[in-house]
Amino acid sequence: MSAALSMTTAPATPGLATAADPILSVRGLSVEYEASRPGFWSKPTRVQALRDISFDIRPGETLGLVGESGSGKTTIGRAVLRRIDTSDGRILFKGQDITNVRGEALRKLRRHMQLVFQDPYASLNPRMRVLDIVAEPLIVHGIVRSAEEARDQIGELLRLTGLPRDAHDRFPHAFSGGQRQRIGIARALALKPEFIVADEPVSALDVSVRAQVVNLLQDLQKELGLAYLFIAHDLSVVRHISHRVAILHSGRLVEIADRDTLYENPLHPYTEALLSAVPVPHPRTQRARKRLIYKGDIPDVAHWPTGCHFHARCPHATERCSLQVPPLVRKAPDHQVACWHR
Amino acid sequence: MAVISPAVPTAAAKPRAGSFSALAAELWHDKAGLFGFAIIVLLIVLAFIAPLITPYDPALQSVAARLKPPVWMAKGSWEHLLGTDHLGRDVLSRVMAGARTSLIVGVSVVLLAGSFGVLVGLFAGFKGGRTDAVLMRLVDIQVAFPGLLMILLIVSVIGPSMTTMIVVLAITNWMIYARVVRGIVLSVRQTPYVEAAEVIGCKPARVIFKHILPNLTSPLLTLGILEFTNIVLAEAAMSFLGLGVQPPATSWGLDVANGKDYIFVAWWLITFPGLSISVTVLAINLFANWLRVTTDPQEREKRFARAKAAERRRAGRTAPTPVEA
Repeated sequence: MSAALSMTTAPATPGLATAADPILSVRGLSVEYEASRPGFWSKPTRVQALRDISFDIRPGETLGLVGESGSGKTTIGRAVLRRIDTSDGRILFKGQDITNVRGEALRKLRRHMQLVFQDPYASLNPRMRVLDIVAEPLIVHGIVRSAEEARDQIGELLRLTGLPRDAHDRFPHAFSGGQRQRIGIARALALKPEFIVADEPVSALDVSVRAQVVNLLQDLQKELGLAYLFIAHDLSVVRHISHRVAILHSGRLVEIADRDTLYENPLHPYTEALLSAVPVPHPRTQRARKRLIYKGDIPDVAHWPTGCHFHARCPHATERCSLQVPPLVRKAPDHQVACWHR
Repeated sequence: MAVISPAVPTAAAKPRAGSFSALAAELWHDKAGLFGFAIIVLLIVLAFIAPLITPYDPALQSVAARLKPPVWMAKGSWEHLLGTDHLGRDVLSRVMAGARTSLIVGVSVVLLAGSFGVLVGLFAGFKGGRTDAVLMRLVDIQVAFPGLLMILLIVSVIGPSMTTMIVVLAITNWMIYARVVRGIVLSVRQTPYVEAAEVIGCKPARVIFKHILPNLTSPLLTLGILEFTNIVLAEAAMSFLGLGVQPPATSWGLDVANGKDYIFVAWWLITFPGLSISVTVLAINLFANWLRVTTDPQEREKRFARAKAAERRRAGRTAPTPVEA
């Protein structure tokens, strides 16, 4: 490990989350989007994308965030990075309230939290060399004056992310999808952040390359003590990389638990249904499994139902479910679930 | 093939280091671009030294030598290579003298209107929301307002001169840049790499000029060239109305406008200034095309690969050695 990259204040044994203070705490986060503006002067109609989201991420830990399309996974990622404004709730980063940080202070904050993008083909500027792309964070934060000055430092980053040594002067289109994602990761690491939001970093990649990138992320975590918010819809990938897993449904967290607890002993009916959909790589086992399919409509983003958002599809639903929102309740030391019946 | 591919990126990346000679070598290989560049240089030089080399004073009238045809026609003479106009003025001299006005007006109006329009478009597209709505309504209002009326108003207040003409034409022609740029900015702003730039902490100015503006190169080059022709002709219309170039000064546009009445008796009056405009536009087009490819790394490598392939084909033809092996 080079001196240039070992500056992070990581716990000695990252991975095993301890009772350390969380690096990121989200409390009661809500996000509303402006849907449309009926007239120039009138107030825009609003759509609630996230409601009352609370979770913690400890240093060196990976929180997997799973949910179906439109459930608000990406919105959570963007909100904790302060890319979109919150309408309610608080975001604490290393104990500091960053909910309303703006302007120059927000720009400074970027040094500590970074984003890895879903689409490695669109997230790299096609007109910039790899050196310029990876060195840009260092330049805009005044750490180096020019990309050339950072050449050695960038070389170290490229080596760390497993890119060829002559990658510096090439343009992104000369690389494969997996390599491009490595460039994106190198860019995110350039500022030595402690926390990275990985927004479906492998879903645009070939299955064969996926494992490589996931393993790279894990190795980097071990080496640099990074904390990840790992957003994905691939449950097997999430199981592989996460320490804890949060399940998101229609803008609300329905269950958060330790990875093994969640996969072995899911409590929320939605989690059960999700897990039953994961294919098992063994035909006989796969055939013997019972697939839980719940009928009913997926709630419309613009008009959330009252009560539990899952009640229309839930087999256990009672009248109470359609009237009152179930709170996220701690059932075990590291297992929270939002259901009236569990 | 395997021999070529590793060489491509390095070779194409080399000129980026900023060496002028490498760029010049690249231009030398693109014959069309080189031709355009040569014509442009020639025109600029001509525009500057025209007063020194014109065979006649472009304003000198001679009733005895009215409407003389060019030299290769039956009644033509070597005294007037491209003939004379209805007042006996030498067409060649006028074309040479007109180059200066036309080029200065065309280029400065495109630059002035272009930079203003681009700034407005960038700002509107980047800010979005109400800023965008207000700016774009201003553009709409100005587009709806008749340009010629505005020109008449301003010129009759300030009085005609070259500077007035440039400013007035810029005022009436910047809107198209704003509209085109805004549209592109709106779409580029959504791309992940622009978000990436913001996430790593780029200031808005850097995002705009480093990540968004380069995407505008090729549409802006195309638009600028189209507008250049429009401006040369608009300048002609203004000069024709007596609001632009004042005699004895001249311009290509003015000559085209004046020669229009004689199109059936003396085609050369309108042809040569008109031809000058076309050649200028063609030259700028050829050069701009080269410039567009050069500013896009991906296109540039493709061009490099094509040039290499052509080189190999030629080498294979002259000396049939087993190149394809």
